[in-house]
Amino acid sequence: MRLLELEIQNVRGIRNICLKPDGRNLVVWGPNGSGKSAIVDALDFLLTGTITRLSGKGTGNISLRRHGPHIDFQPEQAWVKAKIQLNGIDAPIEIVRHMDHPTEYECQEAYRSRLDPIFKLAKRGQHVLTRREILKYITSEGGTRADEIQSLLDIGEVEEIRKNLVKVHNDCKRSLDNANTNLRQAENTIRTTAQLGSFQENAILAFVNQQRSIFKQSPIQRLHSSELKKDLQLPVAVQGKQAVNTTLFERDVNTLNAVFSEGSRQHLSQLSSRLVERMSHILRDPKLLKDILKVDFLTTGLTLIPEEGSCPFCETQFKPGDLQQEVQLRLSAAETAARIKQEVDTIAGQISEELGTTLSSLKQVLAVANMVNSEAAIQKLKEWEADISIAIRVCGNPLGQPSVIRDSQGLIEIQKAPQDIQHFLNDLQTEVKKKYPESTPEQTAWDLLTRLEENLKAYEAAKIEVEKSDLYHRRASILLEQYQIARDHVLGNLYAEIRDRFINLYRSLHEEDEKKFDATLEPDGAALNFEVDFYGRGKHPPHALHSEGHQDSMGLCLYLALAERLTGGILDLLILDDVVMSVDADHRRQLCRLLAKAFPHRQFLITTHDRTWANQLRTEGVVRSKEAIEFFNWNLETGPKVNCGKDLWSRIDDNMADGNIAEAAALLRRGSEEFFAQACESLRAPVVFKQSGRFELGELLPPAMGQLKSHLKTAKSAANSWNRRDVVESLEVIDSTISQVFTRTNAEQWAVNANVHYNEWANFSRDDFQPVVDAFRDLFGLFFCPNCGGMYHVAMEGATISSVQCNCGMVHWNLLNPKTASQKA
Amino acid sequence: MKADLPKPAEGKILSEPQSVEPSIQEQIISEMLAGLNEKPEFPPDLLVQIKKLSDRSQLQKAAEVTKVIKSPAGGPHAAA
Repeated sequence: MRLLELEIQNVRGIRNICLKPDGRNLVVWGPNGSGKSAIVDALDFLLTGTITRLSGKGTGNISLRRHGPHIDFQPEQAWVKAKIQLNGIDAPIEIVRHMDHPTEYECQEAYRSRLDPIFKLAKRGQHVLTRREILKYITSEGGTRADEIQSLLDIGEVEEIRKNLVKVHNDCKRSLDNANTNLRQAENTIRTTAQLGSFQENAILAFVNQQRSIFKQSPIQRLHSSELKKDLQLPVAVQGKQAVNTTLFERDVNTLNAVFSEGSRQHLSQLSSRLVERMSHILRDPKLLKDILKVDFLTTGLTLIPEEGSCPFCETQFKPGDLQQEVQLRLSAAETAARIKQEVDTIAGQISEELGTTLSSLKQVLAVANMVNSEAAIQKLKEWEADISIAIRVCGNPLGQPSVIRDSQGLIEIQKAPQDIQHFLNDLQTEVKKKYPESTPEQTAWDLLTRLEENLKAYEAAKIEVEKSDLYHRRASILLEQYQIARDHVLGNLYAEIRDRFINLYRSLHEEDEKKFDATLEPDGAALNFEVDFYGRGKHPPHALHSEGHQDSMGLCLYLALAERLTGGILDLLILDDVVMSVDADHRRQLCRLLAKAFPHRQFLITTHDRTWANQLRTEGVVRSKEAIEFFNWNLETGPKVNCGKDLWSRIDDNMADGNIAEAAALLRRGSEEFFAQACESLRAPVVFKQSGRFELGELLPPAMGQLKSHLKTAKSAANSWNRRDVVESLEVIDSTISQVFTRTNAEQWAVNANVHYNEWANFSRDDFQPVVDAFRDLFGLFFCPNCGGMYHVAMEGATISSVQCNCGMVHWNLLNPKTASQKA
Repeated sequence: MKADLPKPAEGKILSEPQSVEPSIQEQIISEMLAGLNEKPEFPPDLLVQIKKLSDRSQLQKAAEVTKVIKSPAGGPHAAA
């Protein structure tokens, strides 16, 4: 798509403007605040229905509807219209978008199917580059740079999605961990019921079959809650009445009493003492406690560091991998703390298991106490249950409340249970014996199987939960893994494709000093590894050693390579919004040549506040004078004043026609000074140095002309040395033309008598001055290629001028004879 | 003397509308789905759901992704 015409009505500081680039490059230049960026905004609006600058971060109270139209105008009064040309369609296509219904655009229906893909592509925003964006590509850290490049690629959501998939994965991992904890608890309960030292399904199955054998039933082969009582009949003794199984009750009471046995007390006391000792040691050493807490912090933090390397707590940017490495180092340094923490956790875990067994029996005894309505026992047992629950909780996170453990003199105090608890247990036993007959073996077996049935149901549910959680966790892991693989592959391919183009573009811009420039451009996880060669001294981040101007060049070349790859063939229009601020005049000229040579099928819309850059774009043939639009004197009522489509000669002609010779003379003088300054630079003409840098025409014209003639003479001599008679003849024709024009302008005299000439010009009549204008017009023409319109410039081989050429290649004066050429080769 | 710049070269005649190359994001999702297609944990109906999430820009939403991951999709590895 190319832009033929653009008309803007009441949009962002513009009242009404019609630009007619006719498919060619366009430069809009003028001082800050003259309304240049409104052109970019208007095009943005036309192509996307939004204005990027009015949306996104930091634009909370700004809206297209309110701030899109020019101030004091309503959305229905604001619109952008364009005539565009599409590949394969000769007739121009008119499109219009109004700000009162920005999501729709108007065009001939027949073209809509051709325009929709273009607008879809434009919404990605890859056709616009601003200086702010350039700096972001270059000066940012790896991870941030990836964000910026991703922003250009319109793939900001790539990282958003990855972060979300990491979160989902972590959530699933946590759920799996919880499910496993629940499963272990269920196993522990079963183990306690079956009075086994460890959880083994075969041993439990054997225990079940042992109970079933009491009913003279065949063993079951599978441990499942639905099969435990298969073919069993409820014993007659417990039918129709909720009974207390005295055997199991006795067993539970014995478990509780065992807590007070010497062996149990000693065992728990040892564990408890070790824990208290460890905790006291930690509390005596604040640094150790800090380190231990740090271990927890670092371990947690390590899992939270995102792939691009930023700190998960304060979001400080690190190179990918750096923060992980640092955290690992600190974890290693806190090795002693980590070992002590491990010891504490192990001891607390053992205590917790002991307490868990006690708690399990305690709950059963409490249930019996409730059945016999033994109020005193209930109260005491509840107190004990609460204490044990607290102790288990404390043991779950001993370092969370270190002083609780130390000050309690160990968990043995808790395990000791309320005073006289054994007395209450004895009373309860007596009461139960009084109320309930002794259980038969069948009853006990039945009740054990019932208890185990419930335990197994919980175990089976926990197992299903683990299986499900495991599947979800695997899915989340695979989803994240495949996403990252796909991302690395797609971005890797893209970066590889643009890398060579980027290098070549940059080398073209800096061929004099960085001919062997090289770069690495590859994805590194979510980050982008972007390093550039620094004069053969290794690769470094682009902003490490290169100047600001070089960085701007890199950003621009990177953008051009990316944009070319991403928008090619569909959206030929590329917008460069004030992008060469730090690039020096020499490299701007190179940039002009690059745009003209390397992107012949692209249409550039360039905005700049820099008059020199705008002039360079003209003299280097990137834009014609007609497409160099000057904005100036913006005001609220009229928007910018526009000097549109008139080059120097048109303006001089207008003044001549009006008889305004003084103004025409002033224009010719200023224009000539500017022109010959550029000609001197392009041809490397020797100009007498002036610290002020301000040169008169008389100081520029003769060196420029002299250098042109000198290059021509050298070119003829070189052609002779190569026996290229045909070239010599064509150069002689040019030489003859140059001499004629040179004589007509009396150019030699300018060096001697510049002031006289200027004064004379102002007093000329129209008939007197017209030949001067014509002669200068022809003189200017000597420096331009008649085919591409670009100014001649020299090419260098090291410090030697090797040729004079134009942008399209039609003009190429070789200045090297065979001997010099072979030396250069 | 200065000649007009040549007009830009005309592109080839296209009888059909030009199709826009899938965006980078679309390419990544497409490759990811191709990778998932090889995994028994991701039966076809689950892939369809993930594609829908992507089309609705909901891959950035943890709740939506979790819902799909936990969906009882068919296949030998499906959740009970």
